[in-house]
Amino acid sequence: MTAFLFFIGSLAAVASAALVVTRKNPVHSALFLILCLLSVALLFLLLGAQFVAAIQVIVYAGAIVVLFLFVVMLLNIRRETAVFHSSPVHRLAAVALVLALLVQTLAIAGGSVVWVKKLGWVTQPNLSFGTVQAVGRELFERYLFQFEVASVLLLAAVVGAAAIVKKKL
Amino acid sequence: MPVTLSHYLAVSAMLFGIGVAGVLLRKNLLVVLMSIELMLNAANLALVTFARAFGKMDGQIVALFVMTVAAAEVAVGLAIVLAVSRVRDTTDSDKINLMKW
Repeated sequence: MTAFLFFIGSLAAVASAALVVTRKNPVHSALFLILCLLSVALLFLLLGAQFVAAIQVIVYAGAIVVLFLFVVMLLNIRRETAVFHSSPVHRLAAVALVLALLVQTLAIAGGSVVWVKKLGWVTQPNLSFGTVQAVGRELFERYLFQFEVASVLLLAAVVGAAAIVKKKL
Repeated sequence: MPVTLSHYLAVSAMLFGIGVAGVLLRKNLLVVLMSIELMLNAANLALVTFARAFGKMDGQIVALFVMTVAAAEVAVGLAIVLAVSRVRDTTDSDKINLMKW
């Protein structure tokens, strides 16, 4: 059952990610981005990260993609003529770079079979793993300072976004 | 065949590769930002996978921080796209390669 759900989730994630990159219309890209984020949320659930999966759906698929859609609708750009960069050298270099990166990362993922045996894949993590309680405890005990810094970062982003968009300060 | 760490890492690697391809190949700035989201999401998947593999919560906490940074980045990035398109009337990354004029 887990293997089947993993197969469905990963296939949907990779396929919709490819569609995000290849669709001509940015609105379609944003909608496929939602699909990709939801399937990654399914993978999070399979990994026992319930809280992160919920946040993924609420914040990512809910708020961030809606922000994208708002801006796409707001800009109302003329239909773009070319989707990809026109220079063939640029395209060839980009594809070569991506293929090299994929070979490397997939080799690392394949090689991880060896160190998983050494480290041990925890077959059944304890019952509270990934719940709101466990994440919250960790967040407010060991990561309290980082949590506060994150709030400052968000404040800076809000002020920065408002300052950039404003016509005259 | 049981699903293990390597399978999740392979999915994460593919998502990241697609994101890099989007950043390098696409002209539309909005889709470039979406591709960056794909890459951050792939990193999150790897972090949560390692959290599960080690049975420790730290990976999930860092994934939450990555989401925070992603939200901040999208807000500022979209503001920049809006400001640029107001001046140039385009979101084509080829046409905004000059700082002035």
